[in-house]
Amino acid sequence: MSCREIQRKFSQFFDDVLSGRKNQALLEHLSRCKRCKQAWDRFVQIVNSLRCLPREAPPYDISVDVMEKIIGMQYKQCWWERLFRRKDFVPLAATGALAIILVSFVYLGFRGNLFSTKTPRMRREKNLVSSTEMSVRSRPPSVLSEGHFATSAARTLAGSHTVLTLYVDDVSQAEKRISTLLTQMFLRSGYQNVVSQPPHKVLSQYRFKIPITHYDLFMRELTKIGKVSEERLSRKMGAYFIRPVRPKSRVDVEFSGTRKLEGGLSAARAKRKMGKGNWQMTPMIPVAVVVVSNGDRE
Amino acid sequence: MKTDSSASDKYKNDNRRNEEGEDKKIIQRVLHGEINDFAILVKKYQRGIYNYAFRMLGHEEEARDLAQDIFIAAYKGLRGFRGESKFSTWLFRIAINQTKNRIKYLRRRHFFDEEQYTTGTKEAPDLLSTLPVSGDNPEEAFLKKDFNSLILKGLMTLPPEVRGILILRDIEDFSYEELSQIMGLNLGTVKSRLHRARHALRKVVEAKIAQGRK
Repeated sequence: MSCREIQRKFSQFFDDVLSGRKNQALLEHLSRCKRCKQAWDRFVQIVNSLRCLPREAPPYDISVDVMEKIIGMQYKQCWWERLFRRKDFVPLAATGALAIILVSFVYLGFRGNLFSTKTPRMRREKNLVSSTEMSVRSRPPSVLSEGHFATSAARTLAGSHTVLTLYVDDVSQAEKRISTLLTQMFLRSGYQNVVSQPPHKVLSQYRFKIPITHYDLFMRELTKIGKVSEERLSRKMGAYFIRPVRPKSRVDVEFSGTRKLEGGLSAARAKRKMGKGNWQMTPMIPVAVVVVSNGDRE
Repeated sequence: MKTDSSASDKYKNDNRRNEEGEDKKIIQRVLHGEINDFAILVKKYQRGIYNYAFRMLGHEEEARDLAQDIFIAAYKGLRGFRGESKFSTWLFRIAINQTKNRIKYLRRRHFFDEEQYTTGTKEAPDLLSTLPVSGDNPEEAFLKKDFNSLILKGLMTLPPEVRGILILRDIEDFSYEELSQIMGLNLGTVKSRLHRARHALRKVVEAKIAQGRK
């Protein structure tokens, strides 16, 4: 090894991290090279002096200041941070999770579709019927005795719609008047003829959504056509954005200017998504009008 | 020629292993909510951390502030300590990063241009006064103190990253493996950096001696 290489190894030699062979070579070199020996002595002197420098101690115990700051920080922490740092956080969280799981199991078990092998469609149909039955059971008997739930179609709808049963003498005329009313109010309806089912006959059925603000007006107009019995069973309401425009007809609002509010959006985000304009969020009531001829009434 | 012996090394390693276990127990207690136990760790390591901060910044108050910040940063990140390395190496890793940031901050504020900070050319009363006076012979003691002051001045003229490794190895007495963990470098890089740092210090000290002779 050359002198330069030897001097490069001083640091590792000093710290005793050189391999045995290199150690030996370096020692041999130092014993015969005066220049390297001098450099080594100087190196040792400098590093030893460096090692002799005292370890400075802080002027006072800084642990007091540090702990003061840390405790101050603890108070500033928000509730979930404090909760997270709690000693019993893990058992607490585990108990909470267990409770949530248990409640979910009980709820789903009660609903009866937790371990069901039925298809979603079958389940949906079953749910509708069962929820209707539940509603029927919970209703006062005086209302039930009127027989407004007489038809099976109304039973199916009642879980999700407000059912308006319209009793008329002339069904075809009533259908025409309903169609006109819907057109005037700019309501788009899914018209459906229903197959008659003994002992009661449902002649036709209209399903649509109406803004809550215009429900009373619609009811007023409907009572002019025939006798209406109202079963407000629906708890479901879809929220829609409606852009109010200048009155064009006797109905103040043009419903064609509606856009559905997508689920899971915050009001602010939904408004941004709706774009410019004076949009207002209005709840919509799902309504089903079931036309029944007076002759079929119980 | 060599300073270390295997017996003392073994004793040192055993001692360190015990300390390591103790530290981990304390950390577990702190994480379970006994915050006040963190003071034990602060008391244990405050001297090393303060010394590192003081040698890096060369200013008592700044070093004290920095040492406090290092411990607070360690407390905040205590959950991130996985126990794979020793607490001391983990703490010094934080110290290195905090010091780097503090030096940057102080440079922006021209702190190192002011008189309180001492480079090789200026007097450093607070640093020089810390040197020990030892030996029976007063002349010898004076010469030794003079040489030590030269080393100290030389150390302070080195760039912070070079100075850092010298402080960690030669004053704080960390091993090469610990240095590689603290600095996040592989062992070979640590060896070469340490060699370069010591070489740089030697050059500076020799230059100062030569200057003194003229």
